[in-house]
Amino acid sequence: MFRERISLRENLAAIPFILPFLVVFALFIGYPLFYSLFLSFHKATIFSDFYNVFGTMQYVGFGNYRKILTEPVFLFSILLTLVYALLIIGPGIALSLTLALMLNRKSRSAAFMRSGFFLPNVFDIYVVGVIWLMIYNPRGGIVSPILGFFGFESLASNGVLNNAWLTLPAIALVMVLKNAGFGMILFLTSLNNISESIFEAADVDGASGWQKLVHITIPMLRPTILFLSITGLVGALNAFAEIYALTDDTGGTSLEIGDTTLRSANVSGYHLFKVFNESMYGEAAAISFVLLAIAIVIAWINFRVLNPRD
Amino acid sequence: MNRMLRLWLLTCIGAVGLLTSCSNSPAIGDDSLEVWHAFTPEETIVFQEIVNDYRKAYLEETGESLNVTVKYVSYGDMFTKLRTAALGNMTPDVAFVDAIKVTDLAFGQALTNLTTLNGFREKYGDISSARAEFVSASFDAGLVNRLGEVNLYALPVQTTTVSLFWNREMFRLHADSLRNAGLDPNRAPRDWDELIAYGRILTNAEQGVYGFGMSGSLWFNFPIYNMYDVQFVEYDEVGRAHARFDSPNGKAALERLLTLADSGVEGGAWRRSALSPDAGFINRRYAMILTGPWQVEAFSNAGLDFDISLIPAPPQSEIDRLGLQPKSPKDVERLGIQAWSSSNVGGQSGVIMRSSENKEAAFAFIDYFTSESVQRRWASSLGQIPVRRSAWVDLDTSKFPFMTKFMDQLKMSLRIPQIPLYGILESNIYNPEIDLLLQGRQPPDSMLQKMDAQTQSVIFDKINEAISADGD
Repeated sequence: MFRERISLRENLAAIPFILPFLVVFALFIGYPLFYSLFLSFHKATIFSDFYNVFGTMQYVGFGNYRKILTEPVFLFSILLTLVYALLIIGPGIALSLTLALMLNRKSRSAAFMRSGFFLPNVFDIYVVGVIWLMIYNPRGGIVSPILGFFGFESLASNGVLNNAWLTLPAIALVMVLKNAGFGMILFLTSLNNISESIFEAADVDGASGWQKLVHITIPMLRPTILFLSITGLVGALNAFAEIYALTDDTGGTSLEIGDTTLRSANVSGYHLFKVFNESMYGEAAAISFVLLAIAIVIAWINFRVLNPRD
Repeated sequence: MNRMLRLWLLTCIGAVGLLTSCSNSPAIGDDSLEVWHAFTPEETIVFQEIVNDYRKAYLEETGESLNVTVKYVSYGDMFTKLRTAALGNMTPDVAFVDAIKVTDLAFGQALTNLTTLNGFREKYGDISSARAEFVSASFDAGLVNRLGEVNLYALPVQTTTVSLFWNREMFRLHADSLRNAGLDPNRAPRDWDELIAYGRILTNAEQGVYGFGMSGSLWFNFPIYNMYDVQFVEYDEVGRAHARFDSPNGKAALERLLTLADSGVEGGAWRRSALSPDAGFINRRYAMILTGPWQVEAFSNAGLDFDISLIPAPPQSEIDRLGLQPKSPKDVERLGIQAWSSSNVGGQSGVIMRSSENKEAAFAFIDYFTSESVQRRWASSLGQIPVRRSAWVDLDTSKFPFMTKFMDQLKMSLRIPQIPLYGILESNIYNPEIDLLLQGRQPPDSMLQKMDAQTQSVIFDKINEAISADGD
C-alpha cells in the first residue's frame, strides 16, 4: 500500500517532465490519428463545400471499409504490395549482406567500393528514376539490346516497363540496387560488433567458413535483419515515389484480370495517394487504417520469427 | 515561480509577435485584392507590369489606391492549394486556374457565379453576349452545369490549343520519295490516311525514326474525339450526368487511334518508358507530333526546322459515313477537308473565390486583364493568343509567325467536356483502358463499354446520388 502511494506520487512528479512531449504527441500524432479514424467512417459528396468539407461529410458507418475491401483495384494493390515487399526485402537483405561480407576488410579499394555502393542511396529517387527510365528505354536503353541478344525480341522492342508482369520486378530491382548500400553499412557495423573470440572458438572446433556464416554470423546479425525487414515492409506499404517516377505517374502498364482493367504497379501506397489526391478523404482514411492493420500483423510475425524469446 | 511564469509569458508573446511579423498577407479590406497565378517567370514579368498599370488606372479613376498582392503558385499545385486554403478560409480573391479545374471548384461551391455581379451585368448583360466577346471554346470552360443550372464561374485569361508540328528537314530529306508517292514534301498531311502515307516514307524503324509520335493520354487524344464528335457526357434537365462514350463515333475514334498505333509509322510514344512525343520530336526521332505553343521556344532553341499545321482531319470516307460536320463551316472553301479538323483548348481561367470580400473589384481586375488593349500587349510581348476576339483583328504577329497557325486551329477547337474529377477520368479510367487497347489486348467495343460503365459508376453516379439526395 505504502509502495503504491509512493509510486503514484513518483508518477505524478514525472508528468510535468514528460508533459511537453505529451502535448506535442497529442497535438501532432494523437489528434490526427483519432480524427482520421473518425474520417474513415464519413464521406464527402461531389458537391461538398470546399470551405467546410469536413463539416459536411456524411456518416457512412463501415461503408468506406466495405467499399475498399470489395474493390478489385484496392485488393489487387494489396497483393501487389505484398509481392513488392517480397521482391525488395529478401533480395535487398541478401545483396546488402553479400556486399558487407565482401567489403568487410581494411583496404583502400574496399573503402572506395563501400563509398561507391553507398552513393546511390543519397540520390533522390526521381533522379534514380530518370536514370533507370533511360536504362529501360526500348529505344536507346541498355537493357533492350541484352534482352534482344538472348532472344527476347518482343520484350526488347516494347521495353521491360511495358510488360505488365515485369513492371513491378523492374521497379523492385531499382530499389534493391539503390538501397543496398544502406543495408551494407548497417551489416558492416554489426559485423564489426561480433566478437572475434566467437570465430576463434569456431576455428578451434574446426568449423568451415560456410558453417561460421550460417551458425554464427547470420544469427548474430538477426537484429539488423529484423530492422531491415521492418523498414522494408514499411517502405513497401508506403511506396509511392519510385512508382511515380518509373511509371510516369500512371501506376504501370495495364493488365486485364477477368473484366477488370488493373495497373501493374498500383501498390497500396501509390493507390492511397491517388485516392487522397482526389479529395476522397474518408476512403483514404479507411485505406490507411487497413494498411496499418496489415503492417502491424506482418511486423508482429516478423518480430516473432526473427526475434524469438530464446 | 513568478519569475518562471513571467519568462513563459514573455516567450509566448515573443513567439506570437514573431509569427505575426512573418506574415506578409495584407489585411483584406475594400481596397485590397489578392491574386494567385501560375504564370511562367517570363509571363510573370509582363503580368506584374499589367498589375502595376491597373493600380495606377484604378487610382486615377476612383481616387483611391488599390493594394493588389500577387502570389505565384505552381500550375500543378494550384488546385490543391486552393482546396487546402479553402479549408482555412484563406483563399485569395482571384485565382488563375487550369480551365479543367473550374468544374470541380464550382461543384465545391468555391467560386462566385459571375452573372450575379453588377460589374458583369453592366458590362455584358448576359452570358451569350459575353461569350461573343471571347474565344468561344475557352469561354465555355467557365460554364458549369451544377444541379441542372448552367452558370458562368470563370472568364478565360489564357488560351492554348494543340496543333500538328512537323519537321521540315525530315520531309526535305525524303522529298523525292514523297513526290514519287504523289505527296507534297512542302506541306503537312491533311487527313489521317495521308498522315500514314507520309509516315510510311519518313519511317526508318531500324534507325528508330518514325513518321509520327502519338501520346496515349486523354488530354492529347481529345483532338481526335472532338473531330469525330464523340460525347463523353450528357446532362439531363435536372443536371444528372449520363456516360455517352459508347457510340458509333466513339468506336470510329478508337479505331482511328488503333490504326495509327498499328500502322508501323507510329513510334510507340504512348508506351511507358518510350520517348515522349515532345522528346522524340526534339531528337528528330518523330517527324510529326501533336503538341502546343508552349513547345515552340524549346524546339526553336534546339535548332529544329519545323512548321505547324492544322491537325489532320478524318478521311472523306469517314466524314461521309459518320455524317461529321465541319468545325469551321465558314472555312470549308478555303481549307477543304481540313475544315473538319479539330482540337482541344487548354489554358487558364480567372475565377473569383466565394470568400472574397471584394468581388466587384475582383471582377473588374479580371475584366481589365482580359480587355482588348491588355490582351494585345500580352500577345505582342509573349506571343500568346489573345482570349478576347476583338484583339485578334489586325494583331501584329510578325515576331511570332506561328501564332496565326494556332489561331486558325483554335477556331475549330472545343472545350474539354464538363466532367468533374477529370483527374480520375484521365488517370484511373481512360489511360489504363487506352493502354490495353493500343497494346492490342482489348477491342474498341470492350473499351467503349468499360469506359461508360466506369465513368458512370466512379464519377457520374456521385453527381446523380447527390442530386437524388437533394431532391429527397
